[in-house]
Amino acid sequence: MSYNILIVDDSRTTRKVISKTLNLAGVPINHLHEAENGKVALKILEDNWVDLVFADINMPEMDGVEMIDRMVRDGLLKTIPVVIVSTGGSQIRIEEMRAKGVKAYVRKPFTPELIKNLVEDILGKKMLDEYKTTLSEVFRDVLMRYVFMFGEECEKESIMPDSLDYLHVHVAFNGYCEGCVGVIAPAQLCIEMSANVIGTDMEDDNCVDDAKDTFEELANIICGQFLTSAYGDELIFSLSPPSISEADELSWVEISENDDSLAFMVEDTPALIYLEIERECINVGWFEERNPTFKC
Amino acid sequence: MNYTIGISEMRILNQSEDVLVTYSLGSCIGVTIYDPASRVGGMIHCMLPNSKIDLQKARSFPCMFVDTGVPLLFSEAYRLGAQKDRIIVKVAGCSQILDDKMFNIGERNYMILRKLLWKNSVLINAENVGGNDSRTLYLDVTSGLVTVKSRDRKMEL
Repeated sequence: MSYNILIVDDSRTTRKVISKTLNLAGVPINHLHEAENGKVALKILEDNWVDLVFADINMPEMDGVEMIDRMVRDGLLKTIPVVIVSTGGSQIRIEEMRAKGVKAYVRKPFTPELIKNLVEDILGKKMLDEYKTTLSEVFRDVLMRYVFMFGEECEKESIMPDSLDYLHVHVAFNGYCEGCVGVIAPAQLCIEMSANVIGTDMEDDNCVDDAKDTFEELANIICGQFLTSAYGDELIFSLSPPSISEADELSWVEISENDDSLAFMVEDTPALIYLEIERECINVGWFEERNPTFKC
Repeated sequence: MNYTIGISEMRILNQSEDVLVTYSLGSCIGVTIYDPASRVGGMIHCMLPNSKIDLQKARSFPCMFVDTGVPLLFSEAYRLGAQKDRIIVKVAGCSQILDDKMFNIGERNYMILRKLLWKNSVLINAENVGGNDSRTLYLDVTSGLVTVKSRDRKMEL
């Protein structure tokens, strides 16, 4: 995945510095747009898909404040993160910008390392949000096609754990990036899922052992499908054998409190699924250096 | 002669020269079964996936629900001489009607059918499901030929 970035500053020097910093940080850039004032920037935003904006405040014709106000009015600030890079800025001004939805406020002069860390935080989170959407779609699809159950994502706050026994499984992956996919669900739901997958009745003697085995396989399939959906067929990942454990309500609460987990209602029973990805996945230069035959 | 099967209805015919047809398969699911040896053929038009939402209604109208109607379709076919290992199963419908995005009835109907057939070791031989269009399903009991009509196009299933 690569990004379209817009740099808005009346100083050509500053635009070059930010551009060089982004390259040094290994940010995969699809298209780098530049604008010398807010008016030009808004035109670029109107005509192009932009993933991140760096903007100065003090610019001729249309300054950064007015540009941000227009972006707020048009709803753009909800979907496009903006980082202000400016010479001054009182605390009041900074708070005003944040209140409007600006992601960060950087005072000039800045270090390249600061820009690098900011971008990794902002784009990393944006990427993770997109990957969580992919994971949600994959989970729903696997539930339907493999388990013959209907699952819908829901608000975590709307569900309460009401079971004593849970099964928790996770599968680690590594390759282009590292991370893991995990699922926690009430043991009874796992038994029912297993009965559906194998095509048996839940009263069979081996239903608990079958449930664990099925749940492991389910996590394996979800992880594999997620990686293919998120990264395509060309990147090869190595998956660890699924790791399953019996869990309790405390484990449920802990996973639920993790920002990277998603809640699902599977038929009428809640389940949680989560994704963790290490940051190396946006460091394309690092990866290409170690895999010379692969070009992003 | 054409026998029309309405919503939540089914019919089984035995060595007949007739055609079973059901119309307006939107999110509903139409299932045909045919045993070429005994020439027993049947069709059902189910509206909803799971009878647990209204067990009383399922007792009165079992064909309304996939989980009660489809087993009934098979058991009636067996009664007239069909054998499970010879039965050919074809499916149509399960489309997403524009105002049904919240409940996904079409998807659920299909999923419940797949679950039921899997549990009972029955495979689907052919299907024309999904999309947004309504379908008409025909079964010629003389030959077992199944056709689906959608948007004025008729195709063999």
